[in-house]
Amino acid sequence: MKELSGDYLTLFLAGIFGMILLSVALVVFFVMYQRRILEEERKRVEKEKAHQMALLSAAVDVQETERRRIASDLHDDIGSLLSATRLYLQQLCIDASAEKTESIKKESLNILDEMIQNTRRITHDLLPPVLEKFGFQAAAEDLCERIEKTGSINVTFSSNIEQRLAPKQEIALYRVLQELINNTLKHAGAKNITVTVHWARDLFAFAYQDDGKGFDPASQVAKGLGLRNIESRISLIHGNLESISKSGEGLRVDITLPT
Amino acid sequence: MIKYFYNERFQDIDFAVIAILTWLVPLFVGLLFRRFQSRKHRAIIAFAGFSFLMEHVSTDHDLNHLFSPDTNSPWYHLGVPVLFFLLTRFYRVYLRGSAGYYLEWVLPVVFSLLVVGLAIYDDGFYKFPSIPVGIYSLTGMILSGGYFIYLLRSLAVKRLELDPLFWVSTGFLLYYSGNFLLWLGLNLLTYDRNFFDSIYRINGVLTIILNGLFVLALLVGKSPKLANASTAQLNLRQS
Repeated sequence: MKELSGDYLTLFLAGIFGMILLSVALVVFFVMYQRRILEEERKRVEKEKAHQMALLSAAVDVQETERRRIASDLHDDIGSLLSATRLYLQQLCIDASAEKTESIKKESLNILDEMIQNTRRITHDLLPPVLEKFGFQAAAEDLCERIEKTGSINVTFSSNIEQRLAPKQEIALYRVLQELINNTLKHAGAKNITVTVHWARDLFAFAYQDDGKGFDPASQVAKGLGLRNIESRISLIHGNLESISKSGEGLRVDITLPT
Repeated sequence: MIKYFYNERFQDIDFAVIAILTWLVPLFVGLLFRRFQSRKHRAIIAFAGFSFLMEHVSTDHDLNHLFSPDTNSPWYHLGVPVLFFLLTRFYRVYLRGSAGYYLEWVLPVVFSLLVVGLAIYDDGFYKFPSIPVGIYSLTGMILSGGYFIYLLRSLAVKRLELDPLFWVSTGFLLYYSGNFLLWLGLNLLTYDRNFFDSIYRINGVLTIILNGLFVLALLVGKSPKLANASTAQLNLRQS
């Protein structure tokens, strides 16, 4: 029978103890590594929670801002005109001359016409009929044309889409486009805006670009530019948003939606 | 230093007997704390129980005189496949999740066939089955190490100290890595009985450590009965 003795035996025993030490080291390494991973996971979850809270807060802010805007529109445009109509109608009395009555009637009708126009504008701002009837592509094109017509900025719109998105997605995207254009007009000092929408296999892709002064995405200015509102809207429709901007280099926003 | 260990230091201590008796400790702890409801706890009790039985039978001189030549090796040929099967039972969920549903059954069957095949065509029934036992310990190392990797990937357990399988796997990793070379080279060490007994104390020490970790695994965490009761209370409060 073969025997194991001498140096071979020492080597054999060293191998056994080496393996035991290795397994102890493996367990220690595993425990430490697992703790590190869990700590990283905890931090990631906290960050995610904070981000979700920020998005929720932004969504609430958007809602409040919108309500304030509607209240302001109703108060300034409709309320004042209704008051004026009331004043005119108060002047009507049985013994008023036919001429005066005719004048009051004419003024009142003018004010009512203006009210109808204002109501149409407000409802159009709230939910453009073209968006509901013809979808996002038509509404976005219409919006771009209207901005272009003001002559303050060049807006280029291109699209290859024919089929419509889900109503929620269309409204969210339209609001995002409105917000982006609003930001560009207010803050960017841009001369050109390019809006592109297209289908890429199962993805709907929306790209917005301006050649304005841009901004540092980490700055407080960026947080106040409504980008968080935009992110909140896109997050609600399970889309993906990427924005690239640097001071002096304009803004580019890419949005993709699974369909 | 190594020479000290196997020649002189523990000369007076019969580690083999102590080690065999320690297999009973998890059994008693399991009985005492009524840890039978959990699958993991049952697996520990089954493993410790069968290991005690096998070690007792293989060291019992009366039983060993059953074979000619006079050896306890046949008991290992019979017992190791069962131990292999019991080992895979610990890692059922993880094996199902990562390596397929049938692996928990395929592995023991293949191993048993291998043991039978090697006994017939290679070393014979009356020689210690070094290769199958080596494979068995290697599988133990892989499964316990694999469980750690599984935990890292799934992050299923947040507090390791409360997971019985963590302690079991730590014990198995130490036990099998320490015994791997010992079992593989066992047939080369039996030329001197006294020398073999002293070197085989490594196995005794590792067995004691494994059973200590088994006891820890049985004691950690709530028993399922208590856990269910507290969940029911919580549900009642919520409703």
